[in-house]
Amino acid sequence: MIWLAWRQHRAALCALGVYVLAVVALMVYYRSTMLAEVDARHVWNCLPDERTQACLRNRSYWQLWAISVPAARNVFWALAGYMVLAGVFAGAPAFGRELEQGTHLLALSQSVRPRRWFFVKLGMVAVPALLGAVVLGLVRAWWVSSLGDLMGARERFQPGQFEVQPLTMVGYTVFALALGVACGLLVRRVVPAMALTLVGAVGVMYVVGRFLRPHYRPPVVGQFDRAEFQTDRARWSLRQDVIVDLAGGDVDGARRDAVLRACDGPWGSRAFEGCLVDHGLRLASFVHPGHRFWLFQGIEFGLFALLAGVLVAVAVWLLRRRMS
Amino acid sequence: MEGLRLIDFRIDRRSGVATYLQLVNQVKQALRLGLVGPGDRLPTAKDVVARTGINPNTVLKAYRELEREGLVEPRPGLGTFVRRSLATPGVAEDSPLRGDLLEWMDRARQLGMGREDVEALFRAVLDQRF
Amino acid sequence: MSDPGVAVRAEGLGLRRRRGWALRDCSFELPAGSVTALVGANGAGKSTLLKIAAGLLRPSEGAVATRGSVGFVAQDKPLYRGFTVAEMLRFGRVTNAEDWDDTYARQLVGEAALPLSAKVNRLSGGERARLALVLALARRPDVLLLDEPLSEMDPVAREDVLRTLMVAVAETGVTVVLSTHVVSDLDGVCDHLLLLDRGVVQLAGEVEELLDNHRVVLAGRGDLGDHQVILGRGGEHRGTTLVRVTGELDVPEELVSAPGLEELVIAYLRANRGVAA
Repeated sequence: MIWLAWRQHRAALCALGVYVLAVVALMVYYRSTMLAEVDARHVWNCLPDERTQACLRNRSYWQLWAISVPAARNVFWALAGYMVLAGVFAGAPAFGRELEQGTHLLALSQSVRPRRWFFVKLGMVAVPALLGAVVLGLVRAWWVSSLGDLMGARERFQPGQFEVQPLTMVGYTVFALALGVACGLLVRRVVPAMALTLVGAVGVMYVVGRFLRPHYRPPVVGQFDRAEFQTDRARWSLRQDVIVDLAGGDVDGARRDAVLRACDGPWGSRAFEGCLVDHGLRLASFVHPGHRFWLFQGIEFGLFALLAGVLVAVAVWLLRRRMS
Repeated sequence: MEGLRLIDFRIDRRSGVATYLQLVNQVKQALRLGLVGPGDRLPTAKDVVARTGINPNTVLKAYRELEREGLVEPRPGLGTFVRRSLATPGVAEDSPLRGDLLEWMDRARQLGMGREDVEALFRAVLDQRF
Repeated sequence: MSDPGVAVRAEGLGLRRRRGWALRDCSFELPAGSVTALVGANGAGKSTLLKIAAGLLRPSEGAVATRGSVGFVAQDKPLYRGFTVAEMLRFGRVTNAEDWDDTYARQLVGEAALPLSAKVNRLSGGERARLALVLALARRPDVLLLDEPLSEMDPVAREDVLRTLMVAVAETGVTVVLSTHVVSDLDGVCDHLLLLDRGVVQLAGEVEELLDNHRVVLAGRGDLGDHQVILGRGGEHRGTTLVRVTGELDVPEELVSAPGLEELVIAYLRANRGVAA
């Protein structure tokens, strides 16, 4: 049975494997060239902390930093792409092709039990795909950690880094796979199922990152210049330096405009802030402190694992419904 | 094997005659012509099916019919065997009657009669006498 | 199944679909070792019935019981297109474990002259049908259900497939049900008939018996007394009429003939449609 599942999905799994190897090679290349650059520019001292006075003035370091930004971006898209592609090319055809070609009738009329058939196939697709996600996440972490602040090692809570950590990679990949499997069973056609998986996976990941993740916990509201916020460089700032009332609530536009006309001085200056307080307002930032990173990783992973579980249950239900 | 060689069943699906009856008639024909005789084994259902592609149940039904008529008998595990012959002395390959008929046919041919003419004449006389 | 002579028994079988009943109140018995033609127009419920009997669909009501293991070849003979013949055999082996008779499978593949290294999508329609049949037969099923096994097949392939099947029946005594909408395909092959029309069993029984029980009479329906008229073409006292005979026919012998299987099936299908053409 395992042989059958492998034989059926080996093309998609090999393609994913090649993709993983290519992206791993890209990250290894980026890492070694960047380390060589760090060496050549003698900026080793900036890697642990780039905010030292010496480093802030080091143009060579910041030039290298500017070069590293597109590399980080490329790898982000390659990793995000992997998760979606796993769902599109391994998940959606797993059962969509069977239903499209009617071969599920062939498989299900053998002695093998439907449940076993379903889960062996699912496992054959999921286990290697998740392994790929873990490898990509770990290699990226290894690359980033070796370059410290240059690669934004402290900024893993930021969108663009948060999603491509090993744990979230596994969560997203398992979700995309389950979505693909469910879509395949739902629409019974490979190409439409792939399209639906693509749109669905990207859509859900975007919506969760944009609208849900900020609310996993209420953000800490504080004043901008509070030392804690300045020193917590691992924090995730949602809104920085905005006008709120003294209780931390939002202020309507008309009232804000009136205050802005009344208060003078540069934004954030002591005089300006004093004027705001006179009007019953203050400047505040909405922040998730850096120590919440693992909590948020856990919640996000749990959320996507839960969604994946629901989708697999839906897939099992669809399979049973196809048989009644 | 013996029977298989001697009875070559041919099924005509368009004839309108039930398949099992075609088999029965062909066995009887072979019995009449002396192609198979008492003690010979008829081809097994599988042999017939392999050659003709018909339903084995039809073969078994035909053999049951022949058994009912007392022409064959099944021997469990061995096959179906011919019990009695339908051959009359006249139809054997070397019988004098056959020789006479051959001679008669040759004469008809020399007179320029075609197959259909011979058939018509033969049938007319057959109907007159039998 | 209590009666050892019965291989398939359906009782009150029904399947409700969104648009109505695909199959309704189907009850019949098929004896072990029989070869049954499941006949009906497209959409009559043949595939539905076979899928239910194969355990691939759950009926909404009633039940179908089969004696022993069931083999099934779905319509269009689905096979994995990228697999080779040898890989399809391996598929059979791994999905059936000890139920699989590999020697028999290889023998059948050899008889069908299917090259083991050929890819499924390179095989002709007839070869694919034979491979699908091999996969079903090599499980040594007690009951074999075939959905339109002969459709889109040239006459030679058709004869080969039927021969393979009939040899298997002779060798193993497997009970076979074949669906078709071309009755002439199965003349001389089947000994039982199951006629479905719009989800309902119209006629079921042994072919010879059914043919014996029906007569084509060159007379109108008014001349036939108590006999059940299935289909009359023509007027009250003239025309051709197919009747189900329930005793002696009070009609001159020369006006009576036995129907063919196809004639019988078509008469029933037409009668049910209320079309006397």
